[in-house]
Amino acid sequence: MPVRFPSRKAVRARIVHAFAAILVAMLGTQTAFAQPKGDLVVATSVLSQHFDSTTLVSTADYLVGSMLYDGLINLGPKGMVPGLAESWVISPDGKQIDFKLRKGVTFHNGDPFSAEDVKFTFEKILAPDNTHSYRRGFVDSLERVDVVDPQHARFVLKQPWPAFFTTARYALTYILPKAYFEKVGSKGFQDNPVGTGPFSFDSMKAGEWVKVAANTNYWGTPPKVKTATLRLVAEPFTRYAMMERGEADIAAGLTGALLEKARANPKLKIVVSSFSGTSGILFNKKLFPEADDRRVRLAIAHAINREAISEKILGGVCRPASSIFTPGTFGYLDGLSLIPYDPGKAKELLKEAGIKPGHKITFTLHTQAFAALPGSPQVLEAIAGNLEAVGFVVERQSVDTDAWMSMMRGGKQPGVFYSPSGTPDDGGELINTWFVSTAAWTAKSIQVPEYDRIFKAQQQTGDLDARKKLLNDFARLERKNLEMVPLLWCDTPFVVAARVKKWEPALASGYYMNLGELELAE
Amino acid sequence: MSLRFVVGRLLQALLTILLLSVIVFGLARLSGDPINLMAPMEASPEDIATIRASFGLDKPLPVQYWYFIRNAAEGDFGRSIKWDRSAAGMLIERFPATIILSITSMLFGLLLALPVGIWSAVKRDTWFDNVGKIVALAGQSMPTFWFGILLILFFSLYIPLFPTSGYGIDIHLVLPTVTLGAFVAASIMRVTRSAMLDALEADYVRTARSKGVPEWRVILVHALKNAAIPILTITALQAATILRGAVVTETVFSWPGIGKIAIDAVYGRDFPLVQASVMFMGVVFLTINLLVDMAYVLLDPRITYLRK
Repeated sequence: MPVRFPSRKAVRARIVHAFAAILVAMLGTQTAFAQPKGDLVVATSVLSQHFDSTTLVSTADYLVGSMLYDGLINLGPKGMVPGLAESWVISPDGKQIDFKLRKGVTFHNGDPFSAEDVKFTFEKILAPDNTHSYRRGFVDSLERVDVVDPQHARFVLKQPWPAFFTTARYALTYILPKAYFEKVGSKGFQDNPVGTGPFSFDSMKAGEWVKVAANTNYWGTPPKVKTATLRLVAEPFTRYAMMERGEADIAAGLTGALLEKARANPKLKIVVSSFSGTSGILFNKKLFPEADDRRVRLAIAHAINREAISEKILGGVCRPASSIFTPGTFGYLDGLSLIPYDPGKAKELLKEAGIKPGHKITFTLHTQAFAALPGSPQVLEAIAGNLEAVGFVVERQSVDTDAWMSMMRGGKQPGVFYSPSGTPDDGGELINTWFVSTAAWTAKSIQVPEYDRIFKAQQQTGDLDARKKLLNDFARLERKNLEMVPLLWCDTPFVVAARVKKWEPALASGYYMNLGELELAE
Repeated sequence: MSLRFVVGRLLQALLTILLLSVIVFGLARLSGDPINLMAPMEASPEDIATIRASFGLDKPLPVQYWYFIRNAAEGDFGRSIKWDRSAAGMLIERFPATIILSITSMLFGLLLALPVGIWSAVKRDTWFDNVGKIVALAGQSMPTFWFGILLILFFSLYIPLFPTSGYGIDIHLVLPTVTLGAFVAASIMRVTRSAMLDALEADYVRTARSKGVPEWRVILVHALKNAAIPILTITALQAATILRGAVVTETVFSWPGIGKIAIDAVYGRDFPLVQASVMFMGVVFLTINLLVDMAYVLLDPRITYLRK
């Protein structure tokens, strides 16, 4: 019998099969170890490269911070979750919190994490020359941090601090490595920051980008992407074009027409961080004393067409607000109804209050888009138009963000003005910003003793449920008083490429992107 | 060109820089306050005051100015408030990107403007001249940022030839170069055409032609050499314009140069960085002017500046 050699075709087929088998085997191993893969590019409109979390300047610091570091508590898509603290016990009088810390956690440079680092971080904020933007809130409540043992840190408080657990700006204080920081100093740390977070620092170019790499030793679920680069791209159209060309995987800060364009593009999808902003209309009663009459404030609430603004101008990124607290705010009271758009009713109420058509009011127009209220220039112009439609003569004051901030901080607000918050996570903090009699943001126009009482009471209760009830009481009362007219609740939209699978940004913030959980398709 | 001329010019330049320092220092501070913009809305007034003091912004203005000048003389422009880096260091790091883009844009602009300008003058009032005029008009009147966005739309998205943005000494350069080049080409084209028209009507051109000099030689040697001064002047002015155009172009294309960081610094009222970048651009601008003045003398012996 002649020896039959396999045909060329058959040989080729066998080789192909062998390779396929090897490939399958390799793939199998890869799935088993789930190595991080892919380089994620985020085109962002704001970037901060300030890495020392204890001297936090702006909320944009959290963008990179949330990747490099962990707080005792972290922020996830559903809200706050235990971070470096596994659990905690609050003393009966509320003046002591014992944190049990996670074991076996190391910083990116290999140093073990311990209670010393927690003490170092928080006490650095308490130092008199510290420049943390929210330092005041820490100093008001925190006396010192005691190291009970390496796995056990104790907060000794001046007064109960329930807001610590519900307010990102406190809870998410990123823990710094004491030994490393003391060795390299603040400039050295700025050049090469080290944390415990899901990503470690890779490289950066000042004013351009920051690149981070997956921390495969992360104590939680390690990141699924190999690297992530946050690129500052100032021009919105360029950010959009990068998405369409596939040069970026996520683009932040797109609103208006470009967001609509992205929505219409089948290659792109939109993911939102819900309830990252709230806003309302306030009154400077020194310039507009008639606003002391509740009917006038209610008339203005009826005059503003929130539905049209959210649909036509904001493309659904914001929705009409029924209260200043959002559904994502701790202390939110469910079941409040919207104040409907009803110009007829508004005119009637104004007439009752003795305000004649042609009454002059001053009103701010903010000429720059503001994160907490996207499209603010157009939104505010629409509101001015709504106010004119019910008979006011509106004298518009156009200001940019800097002038607007000075106006708000200097008590120079016009008769009617808008006020947004980009951190509406805690009702108590919102009361502190707007409703207590000493609040700087209201031109001291809100003087309701009951609000001061509720604020104090919720600040001093250690019990979360009791605190929630107090905040609910406030929401109910404020609905009756209507000192501040609720305007819009806003989300932060991200335009996302199709190859991004499974990504949920953190709740109520455009700055905690939660990239550690993001996965890229092949 | 005498030594006196050079020294005099240098002293003038120094005085200009000093004046510029006062203006940039004053204007930056007139426009607002960086901490006001950066700190979160809910930051307390005390905390804002502490941050402001940490940057020395609580000191009286003359004191701040004195610190600024004293340190600037040593090359220290302070730390960028927003980026927490040495301002001078940031500019040095970014200078190459801006220089590369400026050179390619200028080359592109000249390669487009000179032939078209010369040929338009030669073929005066023909269709070529008219098309040239329209191109120049378009180039002059189109805002740079808009033209840049159009280029991205057409040549990155509709016809995906070039990347939308980013840095690289490769195809990344094409769209920003065309944007910025078109911006400078328009003026050079117009000036070249009119200078050439004047030159072509001059007596020496008629003489050259009547001597039987070939036409290409008449145009490129006799006429062009005499039209060179206005062309050089406008080209030098455009070199400064490029710095201005770069501010916008770099922002649109996310090109990591000095212009991009300067505009960012202005928006953020980042005083040290604004001061450093304006001073830096001022020095570059003055240097170009100085070189051009010297080049005049070399190009045209009739110009001497200082007669003994």
